[in-house]
Amino acid sequence: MFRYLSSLCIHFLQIHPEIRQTILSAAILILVLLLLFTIGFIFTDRVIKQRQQRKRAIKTDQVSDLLRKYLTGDMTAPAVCDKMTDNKISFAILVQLCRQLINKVPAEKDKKLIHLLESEAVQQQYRKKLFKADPAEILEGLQYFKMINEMSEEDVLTVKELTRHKKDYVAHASVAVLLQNMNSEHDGMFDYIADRIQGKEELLIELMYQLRANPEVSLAEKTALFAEMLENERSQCRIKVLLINLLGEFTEYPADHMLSDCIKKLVQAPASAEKCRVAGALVDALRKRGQCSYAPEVMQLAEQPDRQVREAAVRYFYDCDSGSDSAFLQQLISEGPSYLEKELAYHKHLSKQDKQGLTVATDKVDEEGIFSTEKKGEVL
Amino acid sequence: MSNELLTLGGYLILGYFLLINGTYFVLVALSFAGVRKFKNKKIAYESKGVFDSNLNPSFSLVVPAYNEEANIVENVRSFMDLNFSDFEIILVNDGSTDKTLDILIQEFGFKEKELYPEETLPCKKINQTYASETHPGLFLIDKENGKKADANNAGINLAHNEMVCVVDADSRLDREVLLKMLQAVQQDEKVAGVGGILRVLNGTEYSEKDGAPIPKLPSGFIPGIQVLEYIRAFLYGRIGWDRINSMMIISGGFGVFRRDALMKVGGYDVDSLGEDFELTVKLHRYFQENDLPYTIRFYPDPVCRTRVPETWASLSAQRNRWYRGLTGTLLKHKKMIGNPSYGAPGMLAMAYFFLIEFLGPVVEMAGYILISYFLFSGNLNEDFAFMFFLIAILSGMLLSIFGLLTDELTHRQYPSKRDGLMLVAYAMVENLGFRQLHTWWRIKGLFDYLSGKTSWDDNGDRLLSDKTISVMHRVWLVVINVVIAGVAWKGLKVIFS
Repeated sequence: MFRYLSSLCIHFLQIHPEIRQTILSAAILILVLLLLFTIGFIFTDRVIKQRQQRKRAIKTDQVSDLLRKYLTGDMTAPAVCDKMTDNKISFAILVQLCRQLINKVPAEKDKKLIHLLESEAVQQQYRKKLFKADPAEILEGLQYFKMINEMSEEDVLTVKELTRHKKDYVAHASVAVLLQNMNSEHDGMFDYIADRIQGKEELLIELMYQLRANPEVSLAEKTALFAEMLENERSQCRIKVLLINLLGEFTEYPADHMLSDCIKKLVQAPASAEKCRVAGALVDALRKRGQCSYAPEVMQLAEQPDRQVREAAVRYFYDCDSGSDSAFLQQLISEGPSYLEKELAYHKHLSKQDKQGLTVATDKVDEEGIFSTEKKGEVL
Repeated sequence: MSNELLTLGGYLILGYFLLINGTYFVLVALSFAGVRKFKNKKIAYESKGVFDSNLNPSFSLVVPAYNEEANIVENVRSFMDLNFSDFEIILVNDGSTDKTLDILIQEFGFKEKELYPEETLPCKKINQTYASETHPGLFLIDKENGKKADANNAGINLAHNEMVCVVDADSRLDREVLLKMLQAVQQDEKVAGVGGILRVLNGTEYSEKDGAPIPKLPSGFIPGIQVLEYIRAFLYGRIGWDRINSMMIISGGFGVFRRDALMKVGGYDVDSLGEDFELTVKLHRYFQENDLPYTIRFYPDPVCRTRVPETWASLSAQRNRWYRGLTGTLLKHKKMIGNPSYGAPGMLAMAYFFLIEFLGPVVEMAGYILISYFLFSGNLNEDFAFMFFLIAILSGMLLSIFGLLTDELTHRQYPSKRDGLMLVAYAMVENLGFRQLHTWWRIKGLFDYLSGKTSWDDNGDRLLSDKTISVMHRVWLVVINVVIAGVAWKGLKVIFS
């Protein structure tokens, strides 16, 4: 069919050269126009942006002036906002300037700036953006609400709706806003967020960090929430390890059963970069908690084929033995996998003295074939 | 009969022209959409919390260096200054014949130390390994010369971290580059490799205050026109392919990979001339054949600035080598070309590389020869030919301008008015002689490949002095521009008649 149509087309063009000529002329004309238009657009855009920058600089000066008056008490927050609306100045300039000043001025002025940022007039401006069709506008609105500490119930509802936005990045930003503004008054919010980010680990990690940093949530609440997540069977091992680490920062939550459970799961997991990373974090969690009673479990990690998992295990043994003589290490080597001595020697934290102190059955190393004979002598 | 064949050839070339330009314009459209989405995502995914997570992968920076005594200290210092919490730097001295090794040892306090790199990836004999006494996490491998792929493999063998970032020793990285790469990795757990934007270092100055780059267009036609080429290649080619998970080149000058993925595919092919293309294709092939979930991404924000050739001789040699590399890789992985069982990378991207990148210069050259033949045999439909030629030139200009437009709308790397005008001028003149030269270099690369010149050292141009090559290229540019001006004049006369 296609061949027939194309041959028909070619035949047609051959018997009507004037049509062919017209098509080609039109194509050239279109290309020239497009070319000129694009070049024109590039330079016009540059000129417009430069003008906008100049205008913005002037407006920024005006806003700076208003802010100065506001901070010295010559103007009130509503008056500043009215003035800005009258002069058609974008509130983005005000927000930007406030952000630049916050934490750089005395605490009293900081409070005033935050009060201005959170004032109803400014909120109203950004609230409108949450209802725009353009995702970029919505994101701008969300960025604002992520920054401020006050959100009305209505705003929370609007942002909740946005967590279902078809653009994943809008949904993500909405969840981040909810996390930022989560406080004790928002009943059930945590469950809602946890539900929305089901399966999205990146969001879950962010949730945990936001939660950790959130001063509105008490330590007891944080512990309860993290513990709840930790006990959740669906949570993956890496999340559990992270939770254990976070819990370890501010609580004595007894996570021991989780730790041994994680080691078991890790041992069974297929080799992957993820496994290596989790093993590293797990060992760090054990070290941070000063727990050296996991030698049998961690030994299983030392027997894993992944180099990084083995290294993590070695790190555990080395740390737990530090300060004592190398008898523990020697016992470990004689009982453990034969390449363990190599890993121990390899590990960058191991001192030269420790390396020399190690007496190892070198034939075991040869069997493993991990490193060549010429290098072996140097290690030992 | 022969005339019929030639006419058929003419139509084939016409069809090919439509295919090639159609593909380019589709890529432009995809990249415009991609850039817009990327900008929004960048705002939404800003998260300090995630960056602070101790579950983030660590990076190993692998830096192969061969005779880099002039810039190595400055560049290594810039790598050490990167804004990232957990990374190591592995410098690989690839048998330099200058003082690169001595300078590094002296400047960074390297002391001999056994580091026991794995022996998984093939590489030439390692003479000695070093660790810096003054800078923890800075290592040096001194090995026999084996070229870039070989040196990269040596570095990857030693790398201790999950992610490996390969970067040329003569390049500079923007300070936030690893954080941005981390963001790309975080957003996609399945990612096997990520490419970033490579820009031209020539002409760029660095602020004394904070070390921030101040990009300026390099003086001189040769590096200047490469600025445009890099913008076009990275800002619409790769963004476009990324949209359909068919990124086929993570540049050898700057790329991030999962170390275990590299180990699985055997690292860089030490015999390949286009080792970066070969590696990326190999990764696609491995994951597709084993039906494993993966992505290979392009992240259009992290910037690495690399030095580009400044003479005709080195530029032509580079392009010749790239084409030989392309040919070798396509032959090695011919099974993938247009093969639906390899998904979009095989069916679309590899087909594109074969039909457009590989066959492009051959068809273009055939077109020039056919037109000349028809012209001299009196069989040329002059009106048609001249207008077609004009369309080809204008399409090329428009595509370059679209590339510039993407840069303008996203990064605007060259904000000065002069640089903006110069870039537009390069976009115009690129098609008037330079493009034809480029075609010739690649054709020569094909002949070189077919005649068995498949190693880095094989390059016929070296028989001539740099000066001779430069004069030859300048003469060519003058001649071709006179011819093009004549053709364009004739074409315009036809239109207005």
